[in-house]
Amino acid sequence: MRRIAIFITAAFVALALAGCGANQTTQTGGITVRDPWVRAAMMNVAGDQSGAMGNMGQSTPMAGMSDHGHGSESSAVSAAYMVLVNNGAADAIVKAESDVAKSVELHNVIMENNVMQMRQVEAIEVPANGQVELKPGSFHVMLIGLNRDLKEGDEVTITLTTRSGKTIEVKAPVRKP
Amino acid sequence: MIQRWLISIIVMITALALSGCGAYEFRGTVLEPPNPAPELPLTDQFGNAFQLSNYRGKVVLLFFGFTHCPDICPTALGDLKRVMEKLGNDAANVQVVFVSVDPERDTPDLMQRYLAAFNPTFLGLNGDRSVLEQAYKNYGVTVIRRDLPNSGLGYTIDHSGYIYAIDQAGNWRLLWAHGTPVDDIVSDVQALLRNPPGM
Ligand SMILES: [Cu+2]
Repeated sequence: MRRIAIFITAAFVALALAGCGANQTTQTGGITVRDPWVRAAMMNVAGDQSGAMGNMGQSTPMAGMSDHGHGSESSAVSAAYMVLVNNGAADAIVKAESDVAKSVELHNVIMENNVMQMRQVEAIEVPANGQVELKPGSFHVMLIGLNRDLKEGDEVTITLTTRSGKTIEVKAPVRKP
Repeated sequence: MIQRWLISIIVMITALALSGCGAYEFRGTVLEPPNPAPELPLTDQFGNAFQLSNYRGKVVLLFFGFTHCPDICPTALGDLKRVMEKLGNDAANVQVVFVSVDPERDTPDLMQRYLAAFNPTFLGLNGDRSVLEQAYKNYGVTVIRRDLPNSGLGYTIDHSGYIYAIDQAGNWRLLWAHGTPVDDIVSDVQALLRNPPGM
């Protein structure tokens, strides 16, 4: 009887340990990224060789409305989307970096009564063995103040940092808006 | 006996078919009664004065947004781009108009680049704050500036996501909620084009 109890305890301990081990190993494979993409965006008109606008580059008539800004400079922005798949314990993306923009932030969009509200978030939580889709109208990696044009076919490198301290390098192709 | 029964069925089916032909059911929200769409005395991204009244005879599709909204606004404009593509030749009778909810940052230059990425015929309007605010009010558009203190954006604008349709006579006829399928919008626009109002 006692032997059985010991055996059962041992089995539980072993299971618990195995559980730990399993967590550890999947942790290294924790969050992975699927189907990343970045929305195409233009930095400067002169660089736009899309042809559709033809001579638009030369003339930028601003008719006295060029300077609405009070130090809030206009800058091109874009967003990156992807699916975060988590094979391990609950984790989160807490930071995103890229050389493509001056600021790279984690954002979400909330829709309330058909009013769109975009907000910066501290983290994008990814549940254990679950996934989160970054998509238009929802979570996204916001690229603010683009350093260059994002043209279809280009590739943008984004580095994500997880709460567990891992970094994930994402190569996201640029797609048409 | 059977003949009479058959005839009554045929009559019924014919009546049903005819009523189906006559009344197209819009997929967007119909504004009843249709009222004249409030004027938008603003300036487009090329510096030209804009007047809705210059677009009589065309269907105008109106959307309120801003260029620093790279998420939802491009989705709506992308949908409108596809609407224009699907309309084919009919697209010549449709004008897409984007009204800024962020006059400070939506400079003509930025609007040009932003809209050209979708369709070079799209017009982006900006202007005096008071005129814009009147337009938001007239069209029932919610526009709330929100500071984002820790963001490189500085601030964002919460805004309504409807697309509005103004018919060939300048009447405000329909609105579509954000995320309405492109095919539904195409179908409604085609219906407006098929049955122009008395002008
Ligand atoms: Cu954002």
